[in-house]
Amino acid sequence: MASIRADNTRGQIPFRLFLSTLITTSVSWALVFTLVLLLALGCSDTPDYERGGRICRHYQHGGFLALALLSFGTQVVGSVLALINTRVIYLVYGFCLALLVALVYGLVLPLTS
Amino acid sequence: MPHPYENTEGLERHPLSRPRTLPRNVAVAIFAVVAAIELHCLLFMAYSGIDFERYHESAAFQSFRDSLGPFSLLLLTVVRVAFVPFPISPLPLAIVLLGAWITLRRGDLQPALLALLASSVLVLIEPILVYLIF
Repeated sequence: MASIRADNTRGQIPFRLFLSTLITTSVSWALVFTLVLLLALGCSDTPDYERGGRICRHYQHGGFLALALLSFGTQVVGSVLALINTRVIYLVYGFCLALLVALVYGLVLPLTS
Repeated sequence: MPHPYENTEGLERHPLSRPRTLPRNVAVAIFAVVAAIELHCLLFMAYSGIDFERYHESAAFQSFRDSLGPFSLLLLTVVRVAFVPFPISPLPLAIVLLGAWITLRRGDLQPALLALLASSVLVLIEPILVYLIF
């Protein structure tokens, strides 16, 4: 364990891996942020829950807070694993899982709530 | 067999084509600060959509705002960038900056990652503390 920690702590990582980690995290953030921002703009003029439909009601109950946390948290965990282990594949896994969580959560949960 | 990123045998013969590297703790510290700021904006944007008026009367908001005074500015301020409001809270950002600084000074990765976790938890519970408990 100590040797693993020493290997992980000291050492150099490629600059391209660091840059791709930042870009992937920012792209994932921009996707979720755009989704939440569009919902906020779309639901701002519907104070009653009936006009906004199920998605606005779900949004106003705070359901998309969990979407933002789950989706972006998955991406952050994947990026941290990629930085610690110097493996690009964790970045790919994290981004795909974040997209999957956003799709599943944004489509399934508002329609079933 | 070494990982392709660690296998730089062929690249060492060509100094100009050697890939640029940076220390791992510097990368983790910068990433922790960037991820904390992004998560911060995202969670507050998601929080701003919750209809808190449904849970509290508007008089409670007014009394809370009057009782806190300048402390509310310390707790939660709003920065507008190109007509998009970004609520900014200094306390989680201070925590993650402290963790990143310790990581830069000591070389361990744990302070920045723990500060990122603590900052995320604090960002998550801070609006609940502000709006529901007080």
